[in-house]
Amino acid sequence: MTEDWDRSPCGLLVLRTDGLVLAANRTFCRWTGREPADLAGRVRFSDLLTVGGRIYWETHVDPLLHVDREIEEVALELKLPDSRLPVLLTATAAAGEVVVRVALTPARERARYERELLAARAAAERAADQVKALQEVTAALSRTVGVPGVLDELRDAAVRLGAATASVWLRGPDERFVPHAGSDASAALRASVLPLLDRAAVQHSGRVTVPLRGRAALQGVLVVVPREDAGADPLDLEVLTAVGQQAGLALDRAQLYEQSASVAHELQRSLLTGEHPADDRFEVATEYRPGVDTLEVGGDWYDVFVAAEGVVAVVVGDVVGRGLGAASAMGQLRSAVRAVAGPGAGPAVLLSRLDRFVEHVEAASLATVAYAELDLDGGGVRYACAGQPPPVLVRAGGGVELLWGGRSAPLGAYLVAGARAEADVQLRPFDRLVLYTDGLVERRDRDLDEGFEALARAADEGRALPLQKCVLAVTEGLLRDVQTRDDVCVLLLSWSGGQFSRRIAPDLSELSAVRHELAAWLAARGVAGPTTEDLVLATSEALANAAEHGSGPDEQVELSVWFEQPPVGAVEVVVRVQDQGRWRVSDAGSERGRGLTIMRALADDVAVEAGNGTTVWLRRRTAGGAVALQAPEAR
Amino acid sequence: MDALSRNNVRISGQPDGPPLVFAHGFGCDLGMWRYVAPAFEPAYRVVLFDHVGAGRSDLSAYDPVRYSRLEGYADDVVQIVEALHLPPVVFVGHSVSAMIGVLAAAARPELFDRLVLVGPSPRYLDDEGYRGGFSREELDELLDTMDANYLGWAQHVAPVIMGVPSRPELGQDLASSFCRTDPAIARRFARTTFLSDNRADLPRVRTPALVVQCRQDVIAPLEVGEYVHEHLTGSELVVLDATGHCPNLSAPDQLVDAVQRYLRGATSSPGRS
Repeated sequence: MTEDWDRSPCGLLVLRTDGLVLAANRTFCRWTGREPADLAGRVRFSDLLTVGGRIYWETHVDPLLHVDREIEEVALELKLPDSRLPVLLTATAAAGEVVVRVALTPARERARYERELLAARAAAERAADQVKALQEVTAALSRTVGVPGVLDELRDAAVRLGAATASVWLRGPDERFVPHAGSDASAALRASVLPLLDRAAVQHSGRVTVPLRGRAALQGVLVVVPREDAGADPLDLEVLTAVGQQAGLALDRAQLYEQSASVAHELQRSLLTGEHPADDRFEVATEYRPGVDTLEVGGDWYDVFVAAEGVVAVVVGDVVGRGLGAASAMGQLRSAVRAVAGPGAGPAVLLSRLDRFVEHVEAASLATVAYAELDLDGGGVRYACAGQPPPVLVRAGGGVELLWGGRSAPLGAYLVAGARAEADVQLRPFDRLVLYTDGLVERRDRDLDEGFEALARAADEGRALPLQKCVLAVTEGLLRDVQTRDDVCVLLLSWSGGQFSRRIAPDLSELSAVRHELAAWLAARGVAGPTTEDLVLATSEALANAAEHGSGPDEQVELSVWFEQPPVGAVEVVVRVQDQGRWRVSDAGSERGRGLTIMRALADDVAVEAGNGTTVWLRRRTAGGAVALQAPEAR
Repeated sequence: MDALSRNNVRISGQPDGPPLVFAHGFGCDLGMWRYVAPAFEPAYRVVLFDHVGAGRSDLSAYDPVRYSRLEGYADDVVQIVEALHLPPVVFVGHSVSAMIGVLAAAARPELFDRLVLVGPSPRYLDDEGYRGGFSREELDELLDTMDANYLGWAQHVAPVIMGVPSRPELGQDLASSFCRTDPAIARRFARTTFLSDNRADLPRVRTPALVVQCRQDVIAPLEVGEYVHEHLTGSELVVLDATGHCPNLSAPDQLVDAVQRYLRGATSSPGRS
């Protein structure tokens, strides 16, 4: 029996439960080069293991023996005088016994085989992890917009891959590498190593540099500071190298894209910043807002131009699509609108001509246009909307209207020519017309009617503001809480009412005719009947005074009438009568004095100004008049 | 994530008793306390739990970054104590969990009444003027040994990890899953355990502590236990007449006795040094 124990092909041991060797067979002694007497009662089994094996024994094997009472096939290594012996250990600690019985089989071949297997498995798992990491990074990079987007994603990816922090250095125009915004500039780069970089490398500082190589050149360098936590996984330089390659190409793409986007923006900007035609009879204010969250231009535009003598045209439009193509189609269409507008062509004819134009310019097809022509002398507006929302009319005397007339489909959507509609509306002095592209009122979270209501409210609230401030207030008011949107054009047109001017001979032979003309002129501008009568009467008195006392027989009296909009209060009619003579003080109380009294009774403000001749000013509010004006300053 | 299900928290003993929280060490799970915890159930509220990655914790909660530092595990302990709304607890931590308890008590002293540190080591690697017992190369050997036993473990562990409902007997038999851990997590836990250096955290602790040390322990040698005792203000040191790193299995009676005597002493003379 003892013979069998000693001659067993396995190494056999009996241990006390605390691991002390009680007995070891000869096979085990032969393997370890020890005498049985050196082992029994003198050595703990874990002392015969490598240190790694000892920790494993204490933390894994020993607890299992206490609980499960047996353990099989544990791979350990025996420490030999000058080598190691891989063994497989099976042990039992049968209940009721106070010993542990251990059997060991040598496992040199098996251990080698398993190591290869493990290495292959680890390599396969690592490759799978690498592919997964790369796929994630590549997908994330492909979703980014612009260079900053690529860099943000790159830094995030580095942190996911185990970096404590990561910074990016980009090659500047002078070939020097500069830290990108948000990067830690203290991670100074040794410029001399940069040209040599072809893969991720650990620098002396412990930082890892990763080249970001584009097709043509090194775009930049990712500098990764590894995490130092005890259990942190080591950085995988191969994955970082591959991520750097992807990021380099992504930077190439982002730069190309930004160049194209910047050309489009430049084109759009150049088309939108031209001078408006100057004329006292109208004023225009415009606002353009590029789309948020996109580098691409949207193809919205506005324009103001003289369509014919005394006629100004305003237009806003929106070309389908985005980017350079849309910007260039917008430019063509904008020119086309100018080219086909003109004397004799009203809005409907203009749209029909544009329908024909877009048959030849595919990119402009289905563009939407709102177009209006203002007769500068009469205040009449003809307008048409091809697929655009209705213009808004803000009455100077109060009230806001949506102009629902003249509606038809986007350009090129009509199969039968000549079916374009137009409508007209009469402006009163300082009425405002708002043209805008649909991005101003369209919101995903509300229906269009609410958008129109919001616009009408904003336009109404801005009526007291100067035109440029009003267009800003309206635009900001409607886009204030919008996160992502298309680009937006807003255009405000205001008509001054024009000017009534006459030269009258001192014999007053024309007075009656002028009175009738003035009455008609005022009535056409919406001035109420009684106000018109008062103004005509007061003007007649002023003309009579000037004719009688001011001028010599050859010198004419000049009459000018226009509208003014004070910062607060109602629109005023201003009458100016000029002669070349000088009134005499002794005239007071005479017929002239009586005329002045009448004027003061009929106008809100009368002023007499003496210079080379004499000028009489009359002012009269057209409506309301609740706001007190400054006391007249008669001279 | 609910800390109680994440960490497989088990509560037994007296619902109104003073709370006693047991934390297992590297390599095993709450089954480590099977011979110790029952002795406290008649007088204490006994709380057992698995660290994330061990035993029947929720493996989906395993975050490699959080658990690459012992602070991550300490934070879990704080969350468990808070989730149970316990009065200040006695925390019994074995092996690496001794230091996890030290970190938790340093961060949130108001949650801890006493610490019992079984086989603690603030740093396993040797350093200038300090002997932890191991070199960096020897730790790599441990990782190799763990790798070599990878295939065998994986077979045992897989059904438990995946919670295969078709073979519930595998999940229910604690003995068959005892000390089985996902190899990748175990590997990282080994690095977190053996590469951490928490010597500077010891003086931050004001909670009274008992250091329990085995006479012979290759993982936490006696001098390391003495180091911990010296640097923990108001700590007591007890050396068990036992060998090995797991007195909770090899000498449970001695351990129970030492802890009970310490806790009794604490109740009768709370102001001791």
